Amino acid sequence: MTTTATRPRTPGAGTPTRMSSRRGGARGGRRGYWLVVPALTLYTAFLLWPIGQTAWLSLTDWNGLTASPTWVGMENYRRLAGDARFFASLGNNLLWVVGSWLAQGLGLLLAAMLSVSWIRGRTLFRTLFFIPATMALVIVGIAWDQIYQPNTGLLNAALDAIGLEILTRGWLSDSGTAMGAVIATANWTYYGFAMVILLGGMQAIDPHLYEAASLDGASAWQRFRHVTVPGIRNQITLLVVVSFINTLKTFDLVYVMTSGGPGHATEVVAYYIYALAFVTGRPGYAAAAAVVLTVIILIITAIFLRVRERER
Amino acid sequence: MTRALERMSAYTALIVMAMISVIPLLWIWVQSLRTSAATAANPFGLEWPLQVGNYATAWNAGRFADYLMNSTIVAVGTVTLVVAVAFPAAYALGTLDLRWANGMFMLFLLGLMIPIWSIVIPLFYQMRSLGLINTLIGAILIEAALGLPFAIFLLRANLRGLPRELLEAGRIDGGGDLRLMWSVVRPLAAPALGAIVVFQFMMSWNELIVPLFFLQTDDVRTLPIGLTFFQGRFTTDTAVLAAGTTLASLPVVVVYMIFNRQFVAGLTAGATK
Repeated sequence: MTTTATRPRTPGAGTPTRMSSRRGGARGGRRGYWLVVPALTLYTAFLLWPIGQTAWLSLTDWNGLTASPTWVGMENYRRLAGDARFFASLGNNLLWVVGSWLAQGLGLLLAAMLSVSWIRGRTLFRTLFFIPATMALVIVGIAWDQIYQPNTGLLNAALDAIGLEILTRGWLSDSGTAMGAVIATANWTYYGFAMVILLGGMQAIDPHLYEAASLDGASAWQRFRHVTVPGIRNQITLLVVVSFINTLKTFDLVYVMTSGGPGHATEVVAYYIYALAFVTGRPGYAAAAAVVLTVIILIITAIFLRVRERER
Repeated sequence: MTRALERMSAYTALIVMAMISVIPLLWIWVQSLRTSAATAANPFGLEWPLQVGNYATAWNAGRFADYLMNSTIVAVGTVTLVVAVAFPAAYALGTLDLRWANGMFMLFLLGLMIPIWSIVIPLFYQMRSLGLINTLIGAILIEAALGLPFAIFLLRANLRGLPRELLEAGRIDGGGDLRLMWSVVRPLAAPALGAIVVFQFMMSWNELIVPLFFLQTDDVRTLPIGLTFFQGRFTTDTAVLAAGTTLASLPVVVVYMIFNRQFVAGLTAGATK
């Protein structure tokens, strides 16, 4: 499906591009540079330049008000290394990553069920599962905030109705459940998405492989384990890595549902950066946290690309 | 026997999960047609007559007309700008023999991994000094810059797969780059362009962080950020809040149901992000 067409490829690494090996140049030749200029200008002005600025700000103790920030060297990074609140927020991001793995597992299970030949209504199920993935996270957050309300929400009412009133609580105000409740909300939008990606991969598997496996006497589980899973390995890797990176950047649901609370129970790195920069007025320190987040993401991406290269 | 059992359990599991996917939204939509007091008394009910007035309250008090207008301008503007600058760039980087093509492409790829948090802090102060804060054009420029790397990446991969002979033939016919892009490359790259349009539109339509920082006055707020203010004002009036949520979510679901295939293709194209 689309994913196979858009799979991230190691940019240029190793393999010489087809074009450069062609003799001579096309008539467009060097004169084609001007076609890249608008993109490059926009990109530099609103992405590259600010990144450099952030790196520089992270070495200052700027408070956002004074005209010229004071240089403090690595002081912000040193402080960050001992900042319990930063590590607690990073821990919440990692918990979120684990949650997204569960959702991917669920997506895999659903995709496997939908790819079975005798299932009817495949398109309908697929369409329904994907609905939450089309929603803006702000809308999802507001909706689930209402569902989690202690007195008027759907969840407690449902628990009451099936005799589990012992479990009812203010899901987002209880620091024991708040993080789990937000993560569950995030994954409500995600398992259907994962299912669509995985199902796309499964449908591209050559049916003859299944026939051959059946002839060899493979059970349904063995066919799944030895034909399906290897056949969708690319999609699985893609989901695992992309969700990891997206989860590290996550912000919207926390902002809408809990503002990082109760206390700092649901604070994630992005929310902490936001709070530092724009609530407590310490953009210099926030910039250092942002640089660390970016470096973590770059490292994970690099590892992913390396693994992928080796698999090839 | 086991066969029937297997089928039944598979269908049960699928139906339960499908219900989990849709019931939360359906419930919100139902709450939007009741009074807040009725919901508090019984979260499962639905009374007659339906409280359609919630929608009028939400629409007016929530300034939905303004928010929808702003969201549309920003999303359309971003999509247009992204396509307008990414398409020529991807064409040049993917099909012409530019000396620094690989280097430039790598530079753009870097943007795929950059979280918005590593640009937003200085950008906020820059935009303020440029007078671009609280302007729709400012938000469009930022969102377009953020969307650019993915668009170039997807388009370039697509254009490199085009048969070279076609481009050569176009050149021999005396077409310049712009002419070639428009009349030869564009029709061939239509599916990729379509995916980018859907993806970028949805990204922009759903974007929270950019408007949170760069669109801070009520007259320029887009729907997501407007909704968060709306949520703050109507925390106790759950019916109006539900009506507002429905106004924001129902159209998307309807569009999704109609353009299912393009929608899914567009959104999953971004899985590489």
